[in-house]
Amino acid sequence: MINVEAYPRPGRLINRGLIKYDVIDDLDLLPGTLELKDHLLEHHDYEAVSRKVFDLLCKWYGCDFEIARCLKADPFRNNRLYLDLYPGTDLV
Amino acid sequence: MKGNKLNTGKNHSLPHFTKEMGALKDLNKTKDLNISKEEQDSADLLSKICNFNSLVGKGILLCLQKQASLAQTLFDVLQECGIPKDKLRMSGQDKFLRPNKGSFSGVVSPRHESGNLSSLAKLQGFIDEMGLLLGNFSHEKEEKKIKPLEIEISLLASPSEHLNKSKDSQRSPKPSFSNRSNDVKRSSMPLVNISSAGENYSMTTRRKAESSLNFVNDQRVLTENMQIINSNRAIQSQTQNKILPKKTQVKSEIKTKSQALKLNLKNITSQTFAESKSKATSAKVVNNNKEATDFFYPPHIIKELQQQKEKENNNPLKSMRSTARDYSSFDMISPKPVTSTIPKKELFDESVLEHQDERDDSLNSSENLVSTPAIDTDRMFRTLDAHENSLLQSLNNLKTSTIPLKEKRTLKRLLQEEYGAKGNEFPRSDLGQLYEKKYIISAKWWRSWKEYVNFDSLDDSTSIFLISEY
Repeated sequence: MINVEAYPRPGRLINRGLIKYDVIDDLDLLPGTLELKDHLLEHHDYEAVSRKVFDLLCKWYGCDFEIARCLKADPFRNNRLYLDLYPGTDLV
Repeated sequence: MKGNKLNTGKNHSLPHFTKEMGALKDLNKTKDLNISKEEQDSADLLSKICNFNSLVGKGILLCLQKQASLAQTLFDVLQECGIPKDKLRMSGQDKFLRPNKGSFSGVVSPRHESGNLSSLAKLQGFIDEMGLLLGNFSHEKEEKKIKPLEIEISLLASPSEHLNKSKDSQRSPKPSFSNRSNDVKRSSMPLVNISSAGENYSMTTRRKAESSLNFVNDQRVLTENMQIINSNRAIQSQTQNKILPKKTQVKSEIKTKSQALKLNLKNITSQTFAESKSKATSAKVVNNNKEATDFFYPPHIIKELQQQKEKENNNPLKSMRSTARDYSSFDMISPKPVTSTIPKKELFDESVLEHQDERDDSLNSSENLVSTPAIDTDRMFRTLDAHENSLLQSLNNLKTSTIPLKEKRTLKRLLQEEYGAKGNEFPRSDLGQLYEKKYIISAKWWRSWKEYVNFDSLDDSTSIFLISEY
């Protein structure tokens, strides 16, 4: 007998939980760069994927918000790259 | 002052003129002029008489040339009308015939004899007879000196007289229509010149005649066109009536028939209900059936049926047949008529309904399951084994599920390309190039997707492969 455990297909890719704005009434009022919630942890709260991966996932499942951040060099750690989740704010 | 008002031949069209007159009216309204009642009345009177309703003049200046008697009569009439003398001034002939002051386009040869004109009606008739017209009138530098809201009525002489006099005086201007053949005809038309608020207007009789002629011609053309259109419509309607008489007839027949059918049906049904309520005899029902058959069936079939019935009635054995037999014979031909299909008892007998309910209950009861081979799907599923049920579920999953293996493989390949051995097929935010864009997705969703595609499994030949791939 074949015992198959089929996991449910994930629905739409929902990034709304990562955005700072809890209630969004009008999408036009949103700023260009969506502000993320504070103290987000990688692999726990979010994953950072490349453009190709994101496009594929959006194509397959759909997406609500497209949140993009740039890799920057950390001068205090030998210019090691890091993902600036909160652009415009000074590094501490 | 009057002699300086010359006609250069620039004639305004009538609508343009009326517009300007409207503008003048507005202008006059804006100006607060000290006008006495009498003056105002006289001005209004004159403006009404001359059809210059929009003009309300402060002063009225009459310029009557050539025909002294006519001028005098008009002058007198205007005085009788209540226009004060200082507002009326008659210009002399010498003033009128100044050299090189322009040509007179509108000329008049007044046929009116001087008489006792004492009433406004006569004045009106006089002006109508003269056919005074508005016209275009150009002005030179001296026009600035002209007082505003002056109305000038100039009755000009005929061109021939005017030319003769000008020859005598050797300073006569050339008539504007001198080179035309119909000058004489046009010369019989008068001209009225009006100067008001520093603007002079004049419209020659020629223009008016031309415009009136054009208008008449346009009207004629319009009427002709309308006649043509009407005739075309009539022809079209006739042709349509000719081409499609059958269709319309058939449609009308169908409509009338359908209406008659509806009415008959209503009557029949109402009759049947009324009879059922009043407990009519069976003979009446038979009559109704007859009527219904007469209505629903064509005459030759009705005749055949009647013959059959007569035969049956004659035959004592056949007459014992029930009415149901008769209905069956109708069924062979066409659907049952309303009255025949609804027997008296079936309509209102509640006992029949009770019996029907009993039958329905008996059909629905579990005892009759053996006799009635109805398929109960729920019962069938209940009898299936758990193994079979699981197989069915897996098959259903096969139908609805997509192909996650392909997704998994493509994504794994992409991640390997991007990060290589470092990434270990796992998305990392610190791997990439400087200023490279990374897209943030929810880790919760990512985990659910990984579970869905079994992302962490190394072996692809798992149950997922069996389910989703093929």
